Amino acid sequence: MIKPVTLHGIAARQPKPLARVVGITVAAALLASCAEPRPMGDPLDHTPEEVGYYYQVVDIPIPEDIILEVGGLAVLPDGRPAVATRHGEVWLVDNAYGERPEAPAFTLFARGLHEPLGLLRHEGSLYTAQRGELTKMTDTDGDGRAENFETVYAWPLTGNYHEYSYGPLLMNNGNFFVSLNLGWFDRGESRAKWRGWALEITPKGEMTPMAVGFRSPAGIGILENGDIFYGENQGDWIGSGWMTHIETGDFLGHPGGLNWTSEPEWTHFQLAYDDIPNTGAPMAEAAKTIEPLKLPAVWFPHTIMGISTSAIIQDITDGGFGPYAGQVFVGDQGHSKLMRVFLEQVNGEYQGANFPFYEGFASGILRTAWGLDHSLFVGQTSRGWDATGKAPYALQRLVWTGNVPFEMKEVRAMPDGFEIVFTQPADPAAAGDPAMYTVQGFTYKYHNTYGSPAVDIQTLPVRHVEVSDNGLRARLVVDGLREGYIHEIRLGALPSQSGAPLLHDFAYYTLNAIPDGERLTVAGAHAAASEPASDVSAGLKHRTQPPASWNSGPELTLTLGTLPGLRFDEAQFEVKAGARVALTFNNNDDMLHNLVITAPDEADHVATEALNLGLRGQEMGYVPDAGAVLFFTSLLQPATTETIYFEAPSIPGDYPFVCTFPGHAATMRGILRVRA
Amino acid sequence: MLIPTVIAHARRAALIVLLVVPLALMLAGSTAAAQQAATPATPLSLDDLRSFKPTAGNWQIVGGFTADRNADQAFTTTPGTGILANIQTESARDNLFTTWEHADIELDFEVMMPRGSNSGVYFQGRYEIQLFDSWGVPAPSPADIGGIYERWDEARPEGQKGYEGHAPPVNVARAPGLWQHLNIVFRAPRFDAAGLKTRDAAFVRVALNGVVLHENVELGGPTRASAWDDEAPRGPLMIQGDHGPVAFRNIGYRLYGPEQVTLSNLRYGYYQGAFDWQMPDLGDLTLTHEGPTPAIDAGLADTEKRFALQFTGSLDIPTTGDYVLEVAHSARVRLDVDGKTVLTDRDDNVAAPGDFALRTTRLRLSKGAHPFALTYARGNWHGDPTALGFYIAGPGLLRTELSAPGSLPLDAFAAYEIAPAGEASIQRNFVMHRGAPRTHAMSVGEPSGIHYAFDTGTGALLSLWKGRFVNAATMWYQRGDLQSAIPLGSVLELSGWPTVAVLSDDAAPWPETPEGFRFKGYSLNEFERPIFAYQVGDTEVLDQLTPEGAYFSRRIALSGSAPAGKVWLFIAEGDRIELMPDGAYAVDDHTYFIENLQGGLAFVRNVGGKSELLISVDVAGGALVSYDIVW
Repeated sequence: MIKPVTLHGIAARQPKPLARVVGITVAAALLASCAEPRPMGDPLDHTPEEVGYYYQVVDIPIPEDIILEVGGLAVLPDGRPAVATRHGEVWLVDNAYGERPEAPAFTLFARGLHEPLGLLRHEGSLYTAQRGELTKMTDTDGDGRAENFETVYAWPLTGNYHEYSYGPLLMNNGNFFVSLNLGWFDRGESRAKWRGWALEITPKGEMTPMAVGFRSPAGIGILENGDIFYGENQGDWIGSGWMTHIETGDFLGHPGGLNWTSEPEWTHFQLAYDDIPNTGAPMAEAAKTIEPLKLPAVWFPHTIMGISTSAIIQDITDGGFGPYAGQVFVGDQGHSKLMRVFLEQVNGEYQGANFPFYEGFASGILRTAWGLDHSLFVGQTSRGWDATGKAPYALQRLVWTGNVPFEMKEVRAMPDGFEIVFTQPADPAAAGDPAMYTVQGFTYKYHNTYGSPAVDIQTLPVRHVEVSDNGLRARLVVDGLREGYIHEIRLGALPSQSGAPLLHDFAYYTLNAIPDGERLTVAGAHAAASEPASDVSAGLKHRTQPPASWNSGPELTLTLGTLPGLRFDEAQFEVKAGARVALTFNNNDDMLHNLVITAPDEADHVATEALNLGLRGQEMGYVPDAGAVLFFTSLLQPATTETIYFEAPSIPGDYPFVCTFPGHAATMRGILRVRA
Repeated sequence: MLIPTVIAHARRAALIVLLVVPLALMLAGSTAAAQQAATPATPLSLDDLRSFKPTAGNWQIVGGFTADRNADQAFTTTPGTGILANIQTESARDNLFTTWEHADIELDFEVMMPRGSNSGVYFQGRYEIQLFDSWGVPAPSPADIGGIYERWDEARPEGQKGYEGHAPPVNVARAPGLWQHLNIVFRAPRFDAAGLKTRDAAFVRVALNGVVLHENVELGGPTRASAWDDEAPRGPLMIQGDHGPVAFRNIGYRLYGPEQVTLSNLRYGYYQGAFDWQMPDLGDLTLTHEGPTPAIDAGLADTEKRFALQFTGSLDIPTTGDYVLEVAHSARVRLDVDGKTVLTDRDDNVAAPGDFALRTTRLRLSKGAHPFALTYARGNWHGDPTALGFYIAGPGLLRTELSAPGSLPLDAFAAYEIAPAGEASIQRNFVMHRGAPRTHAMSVGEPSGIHYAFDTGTGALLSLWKGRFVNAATMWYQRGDLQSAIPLGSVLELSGWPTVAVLSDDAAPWPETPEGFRFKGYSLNEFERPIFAYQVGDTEVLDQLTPEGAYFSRRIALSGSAPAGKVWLFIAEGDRIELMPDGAYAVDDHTYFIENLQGGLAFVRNVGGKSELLISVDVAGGALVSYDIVW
């Protein structure tokens, strides 16, 4: 069997059965205890098309009076997870794997901390970064509760709530790493020393500033080789979330903390906020003139790959959690899901691809940690920021069933395209057809405005595909690659050689640098096709002025708005067939919405098509070009209103109206009842 | 909205109803008792006894009254004016009556109880608020200071003769020999033309040392030892004079009449539309519903965002005079009266999550109807629950809530209270001190009901309080904002100066941050009480407060190498610091005591108009400073 070489030269081995055995034992044990939490089911309850066939979530029940808003998570040598909560407590959890039938037992280790957002076990103590300091907590008398709270290092604060402090990580040199949020003063600013910075602190408490340019570095992780990565959150200067490798002396992108580069402790460079070009040109452009600026290794396109990047953890299970040894899992707080990242180095710098992995966690993900059985503890909280998982907090375990899904395992940059490495051999004929692949390149604006749409989108021709003999690799020749741009690689219905479907069919590769090397010999070359956004505002489906032929104006005026929880505030309207209708949609919510009237029973289909518009979706107002779409509004910004004019269908029936923004259609819909 | 549970640090504790009025009032530094009245209190002159009926001579006007904490009922006086003292003897032990009578009244005064002493204030000579030395009583009864004394019926069976007393729910009594503050609002019974009682008397509010103990307690009849058995529309104030010595000062009162401010033609308008967190122009919004409404009630809103609720109508003012209007709220408000905006928040002083804001304005209003508009707006607000309270006070008019009960949800943040149980409770937070946050600080609470806050950024004792511990809503409600655990008891705010400093000479000003200060951490003893460790230059310090009944004892151990005679500790600051005959220091005219100060050379110096109590130590070989802080 070919052993694909991973980043660290650790060969992937046969999947270990341990997790599966433990998982089934857990299931039996939990079922026997009649506990409410969802036990891991039998993977055979799922089909190979479903993610539950490969990975399952197990709940860890939490006592009612513990507000377990997870801020920090670490697994102790004896396997017990230790949880630091945003209410300042540290709990140790016994029987967290469900190894015994009764419920897990929570023991209080410490409390009174000020919003700890990290937890590390090191040399018998637990370390955490609270708002104002790095603290070492030690149980000196072995009674299970910390008595000693040593202030390793304290940093200044203004008292602004946004000044969160994260960590620590243990660096390979034995020092601690912490990252510090900017304060929020209507924009991200650093009004106390070192806000927006990452600090390196020795166990004795000597501090050296390491890097600057952070906005909201909530997710931090360290690889086995000692390289540190962090996840950034969309905001001012941050077009979309990203994951970047941090090295001493780096500027990571947000200029808020640059005012402290003149401090004597910092010897690497001096820059001011206004030194950073505010033109909206891509970050890769700015990096050409701002030498310390470090580009993200992997961008997370906003709303597609999450909305607030958090927990970063490398798979160190050596195959015990599936075929992704050495890759990195990244959590998202807003979308309650885990994504997967493949990293490689080109010209000595990290870049790579991210893939969807698992969604449907109970709350917003903030921290992850490996259990001793190679399951992944996922610590969650959503207080203050809405998450798709509606629970206010949770602690769950993600367990591998032992079944290997058919997935894109890796995407590697090539001198003339990309190489996809699959987890299992792909059907050679299908994998060798260039029409199976769609590639788009795009980037984001780098400027002080909050966020950025995907810009400069081009569809790139896939000229040729070469599949390896064993079917595991497909090398794509793609024209129009642009350095510094993100490339979406989307696959059609590609089966594996054994007929299994692809579990996830797209990936985003951040192509900071195109590697040198041998190009494949292929006939012809096409220029990149730059597809303009299709004009979906044509014709009678979207009229924002009353038609001239309506001499006496509309016969009927309908008005609706929204309710919290992704709902319209009207469930049903009744109109006469053929009536002249003016429909006013007032988007009084704080997110984007539209209203699309479809043919009877077509709401779900139209919503799915809208979802599949992908990167172009936003500029198309998430309205697919489909016959089932009858009438629609623009995609409305928060606090805007639009009126559309149409004649009600002549055939009586129930015509659904729905918001087709991704994720909204399930609840945000109603019925336009047309009567004779 | 989140439905949190009470946080008790052991097992779940019983949920105590939050008696303190809106949290914002605690934050503003004003006590519950200082809710603004429109008219200033009428001082009851203590230049002489003219306001009182003659007595056997136990009641006297003096200039100074000092109680000796170490002996029951022991006290000394000095001649002068300003203090009303009961110097009871075997033959002179009369109660004291005012020459005037009152119906509805607010009484505000300070009292000093000698050790073990007992007295009481009887409204209309009939309904008693108890005065007692209740310092350190773990579970107060109606016979403790601030209690509504019980009624008495000889005819009842033994052991049940006393009834309908109301105990203070918490003990916030100060130590004997210290001045304590009471503010009591009393409403007289109402009678019809035939003289039949139509409404019971009530204590509308009783606050002791800044903490509300009782609210709207109806009284079925006179309490024990009342001067009369019957009830009447009016009666004199009576102070008990036969149960022990007691002293009063700074007595003020407001008489309230029966008239009320009412609202008429009350309508609401509910607007929806586009705005973020500013106060919108209603013309930019869509009027969705409108109509008459029986009450100003924020509960009319059925969404949480992007709406404005405007109430319009008439304020019907019974008497021309100065009125105080207050609005307590979340999100944004504006109040217009007679067509002019009289009260508004600004973009830079919006209400913060985890707390409500309180806005106040003073207006001269003539008798009659005054059109008003009260607008409440929530844009894209991630903050608090919808909340709107509207209040008015005026000449002869007790502060009245014009909004519906529940429109300002007083218990909105009750679930964020931290109640120590079984062990000391620590919570690190941004402790507010004199209106500014100390960002590296912690609050420490004791189950016995005494607590303190300590600044670990400078090594300073910030405040002490007694009663309930803290409410953490501004830390844990939504994102939190102030990140401050708000004390819930009777707070004694201290100077906040760092404790240890190296001074070049004994006249050098005390530094805000001591040179070479580094906080090292703390360790917890078996009761989870912290011992702080910090260093000031080459001096190592261990600093610990231990509860002793109702006061704290502080021990500060110093070691290391520092220039001899140069290490000083800051013990107390006040307008006055007096050394008492028993060696204790009375700070700020008997606001609190420093007792048993040992371990170095103590002296009081005057700096910038303030007195400072300092102690200098010789660190070499180790030094131990200790003292008790009694309040």
